[in-house]
Amino acid sequence: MIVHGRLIGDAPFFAVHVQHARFGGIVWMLADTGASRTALLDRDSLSLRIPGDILIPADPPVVGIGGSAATYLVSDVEFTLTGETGLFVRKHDLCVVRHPLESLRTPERARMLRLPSVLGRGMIGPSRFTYESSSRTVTLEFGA
Amino acid sequence: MAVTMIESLRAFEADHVWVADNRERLLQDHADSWIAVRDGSVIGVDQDFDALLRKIPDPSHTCIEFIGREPIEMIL
Repeated sequence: MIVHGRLIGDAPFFAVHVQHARFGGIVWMLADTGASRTALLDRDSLSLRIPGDILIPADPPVVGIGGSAATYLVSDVEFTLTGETGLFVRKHDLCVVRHPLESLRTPERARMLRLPSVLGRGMIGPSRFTYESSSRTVTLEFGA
Repeated sequence: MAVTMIESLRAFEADHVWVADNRERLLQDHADSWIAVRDGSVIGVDQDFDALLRKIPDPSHTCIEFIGREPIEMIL
Protein backbone atom coordinates (compact mmCIF):
# COMPACT_ATOMS: atom_id res chain seq x y z
CA MET A 1 0.00 0.00 0.00
CA ILE A 2 1.48 3.34 -1.04
CA VAL A 3 0.47 6.45 0.86
CA HIS A 4 1.26 9.76 -0.75
CA GLY A 5 2.15 12.82 1.26
CA ARG A 6 2.80 16.38 0.17
CA LEU A 7 5.81 18.61 0.32
CA ILE A 8 5.08 22.01 1.84
CA GLY A 9 8.22 23.84 0.88
CA ASP A 10 10.72 21.07 1.56
CA ALA A 11 8.85 19.57 4.52
CA PRO A 12 7.02 16.22 4.09
CA PHE A 13 3.49 16.15 5.45
CA PHE A 14 0.74 13.54 5.63
CA ALA A 15 -2.94 13.92 6.50
CA VAL A 16 -3.65 11.45 9.30
CA HIS A 17 -6.97 10.65 10.89
CA VAL A 18 -6.42 9.99 14.59
CA GLN A 19 -9.17 8.18 16.47
CA HIS A 20 -9.54 7.25 20.12
CA ALA A 21 -12.61 6.33 22.12
CA ARG A 22 -12.56 9.82 23.69
CA PHE A 23 -11.39 12.04 20.80
CA GLY A 24 -10.83 12.06 17.06
CA GLY A 25 -9.85 14.29 14.19
CA ILE A 26 -7.50 14.88 11.29
CA VAL A 27 -3.96 16.07 11.85
CA TRP A 28 -1.45 17.46 9.38
CA MET A 29 1.67 15.56 10.43
CA LEU A 30 5.27 16.20 9.55
CA ALA A 31 7.05 12.94 8.73
CA ASP A 32 10.02 13.04 11.06
CA THR A 33 12.54 10.19 11.09
CA GLY A 34 14.24 11.88 14.03
CA ALA A 35 11.17 11.30 16.19
CA SER A 36 11.07 7.92 17.91
CA ARG A 37 7.34 8.34 18.49
CA THR A 38 4.37 9.87 16.74
CA ALA A 39 3.47 12.92 18.75
CA LEU A 40 0.73 15.49 18.89
CA LEU A 41 1.94 18.98 19.65
CA ASP A 42 -0.01 21.68 21.42
CA ARG A 43 -1.95 23.15 18.49
CA ASP A 44 -3.37 19.80 17.43
CA SER A 45 -3.87 18.59 20.97
CA LEU A 46 -6.04 21.67 21.58
CA SER A 47 -7.88 21.35 18.25
CA LEU A 48 -8.75 17.71 18.97
CA ARG A 49 -9.83 18.61 22.52
CA ILE A 50 -7.97 15.72 24.09
CA PRO A 51 -9.35 15.22 27.60
CA GLY A 52 -6.72 15.49 30.33
CA ASP A 53 -7.94 12.48 32.29
CA ILE A 54 -6.76 10.02 29.63
CA LEU A 55 -3.19 11.32 29.57
CA ILE A 56 -0.66 9.07 31.28
CA PRO A 57 2.82 10.54 31.91
CA ALA A 58 5.26 9.08 29.41
CA ASP A 59 7.79 6.64 30.82
CA PRO A 60 10.63 7.06 29.96
CA PRO A 61 10.34 10.85 29.61
CA VAL A 62 10.62 12.33 26.14
CA VAL A 63 13.43 14.76 25.39
CA GLY A 64 14.00 16.88 22.32
CA ILE A 65 16.13 19.82 21.16
CA GLY A 66 15.32 22.65 23.55
CA GLY A 67 14.80 20.40 26.54
CA SER A 68 11.86 18.57 28.02
CA ALA A 69 8.17 19.28 27.93
CA ALA A 70 5.39 17.45 29.70
CA THR A 71 4.79 14.33 27.65
CA TYR A 72 2.01 11.79 27.89
CA LEU A 73 1.04 8.56 26.25
CA VAL A 74 -2.36 7.59 24.96
CA SER A 75 -2.92 3.93 24.08
CA ASP A 76 -5.26 2.34 21.58
CA VAL A 77 -5.19 5.11 19.03
CA GLU A 78 -6.12 4.28 15.46
CA PHE A 79 -4.24 6.06 12.70
CA THR A 80 -5.74 6.18 9.22
CA LEU A 81 -4.06 7.44 6.07
CA THR A 82 -5.26 7.41 2.48
CA GLY A 83 -3.39 4.98 0.26
CA GLU A 84 -3.50 4.43 -3.49
CA THR A 85 -5.85 1.48 -3.11
CA GLY A 86 -7.85 2.49 -0.06
CA LEU A 87 -7.33 3.27 3.58
CA PHE A 88 -4.24 2.31 5.55
CA VAL A 89 -5.08 1.74 9.21
CA ARG A 90 -2.79 1.03 12.13
CA LYS A 91 -3.25 0.99 15.90
CA HIS A 92 -0.45 2.60 17.82
CA ASP A 93 0.34 4.56 20.94
CA LEU A 94 0.27 8.34 20.62
CA CYS A 95 2.55 10.71 22.45
CA VAL A 96 1.00 14.03 23.48
CA VAL A 97 3.37 16.90 24.19
CA ARG A 98 2.22 19.85 26.23
CA HIS A 99 4.25 22.99 26.66
CA PRO A 100 3.44 25.43 29.48
CA LEU A 101 1.70 27.81 27.08
CA GLU A 102 -0.02 29.78 29.84
CA SER A 103 3.35 30.81 31.27
CA LEU A 104 4.76 32.00 27.93
CA ARG A 105 4.65 35.53 26.60
CA THR A 106 2.44 35.99 23.55
CA PRO A 107 5.14 35.87 20.82
CA GLU A 108 6.72 32.72 22.26
CA ARG A 109 3.33 31.13 22.79
CA ALA A 110 2.45 31.78 19.15
CA ARG A 111 5.74 30.20 18.02
CA MET A 112 5.12 27.08 20.11
CA LEU A 113 1.63 26.74 18.66
CA ARG A 114 3.16 26.72 15.18
CA LEU A 115 5.01 23.48 15.90
CA PRO A 116 3.55 20.69 13.74
CA SER A 117 2.67 17.30 15.09
CA VAL A 118 5.09 14.61 13.95
CA LEU A 119 4.70 11.19 12.39
CA GLY A 120 7.55 9.31 14.02
CA ARG A 121 9.52 6.15 13.43
CA GLY A 122 6.88 4.02 15.15
CA MET A 123 4.66 4.62 12.11
CA ILE A 124 7.31 5.36 9.44
CA GLY A 125 9.67 2.55 10.43
CA PRO A 126 7.63 -0.35 8.98
CA SER A 127 7.45 1.44 5.63
CA ARG A 128 9.73 2.37 2.77
CA PHE A 129 9.84 6.14 3.19
CA THR A 130 10.65 8.05 0.03
CA TYR A 131 11.51 11.73 0.05
CA GLU A 132 12.59 13.21 -3.26
CA SER A 133 12.59 16.97 -3.40
CA SER A 134 13.44 17.18 -7.11
CA SER A 135 10.24 15.38 -8.11
CA ARG A 136 8.22 16.71 -5.15
CA THR A 137 7.60 13.11 -4.08
CA VAL A 138 7.01 11.87 -0.59
CA THR A 139 5.52 8.45 0.06
CA LEU A 140 5.21 5.75 2.66
CA GLU A 141 5.08 2.27 1.17
CA PHE A 142 3.83 -0.46 3.48
CA GLY A 143 4.21 -4.13 2.79
CA ALA A 144 6.91 -3.52 0.15
CA MET B 1 -17.69 5.09 5.65
CA ALA B 2 -14.33 4.43 3.97
CA VAL B 3 -15.23 6.70 1.07
CA THR B 4 -16.19 9.47 3.48
CA MET B 5 -12.91 9.08 5.34
CA ILE B 6 -10.93 9.20 2.10
CA GLU B 7 -12.80 12.32 1.00
CA SER B 8 -12.24 13.98 4.37
CA LEU B 9 -8.52 13.24 4.38
CA ARG B 10 -8.08 14.46 0.82
CA ALA B 11 -10.07 17.64 1.45
CA PHE B 12 -8.03 18.35 4.57
CA GLU B 13 -4.80 17.84 2.64
CA ALA B 14 -6.04 20.02 -0.22
CA ASP B 15 -6.77 22.86 2.21
CA HIS B 16 -3.25 22.76 3.63
CA VAL B 17 -1.80 22.81 0.13
CA TRP B 18 -4.12 25.71 -0.74
CA VAL B 19 -2.79 27.71 2.22
CA ALA B 20 0.79 27.08 1.09
CA ASP B 21 -0.01 28.02 -2.51
CA ASN B 22 -1.82 31.21 -1.45
CA ARG B 23 0.46 32.31 1.36
CA GLU B 24 1.46 35.63 -0.22
CA ARG B 25 -2.15 36.74 -0.69
CA LEU B 26 -3.09 35.46 2.76
CA LEU B 27 -0.24 37.49 4.23
CA GLN B 28 -1.71 40.64 2.74
CA ASP B 29 -5.16 39.91 4.19
CA HIS B 30 -4.42 38.07 7.45
CA ALA B 31 -0.85 38.74 8.55
CA ASP B 32 0.03 37.36 11.98
CA SER B 33 -3.35 35.69 12.35
CA TRP B 34 -4.62 32.16 12.71
CA ILE B 35 -6.93 31.13 9.90
CA ALA B 36 -9.33 28.23 9.47
CA VAL B 37 -9.82 26.94 5.94
CA ARG B 38 -12.47 24.63 4.45
CA ASP B 39 -12.78 23.74 0.77
CA GLY B 40 -10.30 26.41 -0.25
CA SER B 41 -12.03 29.23 1.62
CA VAL B 42 -11.13 31.03 4.82
CA ILE B 43 -13.95 30.39 7.29
CA GLY B 44 -12.47 31.98 10.38
CA VAL B 45 -9.71 34.38 11.40
CA ASP B 46 -8.34 35.45 14.76
CA GLN B 47 -5.03 36.59 16.18
CA ASP B 48 -5.74 34.39 19.18
CA PHE B 49 -5.64 30.63 18.56
CA ASP B 50 -8.07 29.70 21.32
CA ALA B 51 -10.53 32.35 20.15
CA LEU B 52 -10.43 30.91 16.63
CA LEU B 53 -11.14 27.41 17.95
CA ARG B 54 -14.26 28.75 19.66
CA LYS B 55 -15.45 30.44 16.45
CA ILE B 56 -15.34 27.51 14.03
CA PRO B 57 -17.80 24.59 14.04
CA ASP B 58 -15.47 21.56 13.81
CA PRO B 59 -11.86 22.42 14.63
CA SER B 60 -10.82 18.78 14.86
CA HIS B 61 -11.45 18.29 11.14
CA THR B 62 -10.46 21.74 9.89
CA CYS B 63 -7.25 23.08 8.41
CA ILE B 64 -5.91 25.65 10.87
CA GLU B 65 -2.74 27.54 10.03
CA PHE B 66 -0.84 30.59 11.23
CA ILE B 67 -0.06 33.24 8.63
CA GLY B 68 3.03 34.79 10.10
CA ARG B 69 5.22 37.57 8.82
CA GLU B 70 8.11 36.25 10.90
CA PRO B 71 9.85 33.32 9.23
CA ILE B 72 10.95 30.68 11.68
CA GLU B 73 13.28 27.75 11.38
CA MET B 74 12.19 24.55 13.07
CA ILE B 75 14.42 21.69 14.10
CA LEU B 76 12.28 18.77 15.17
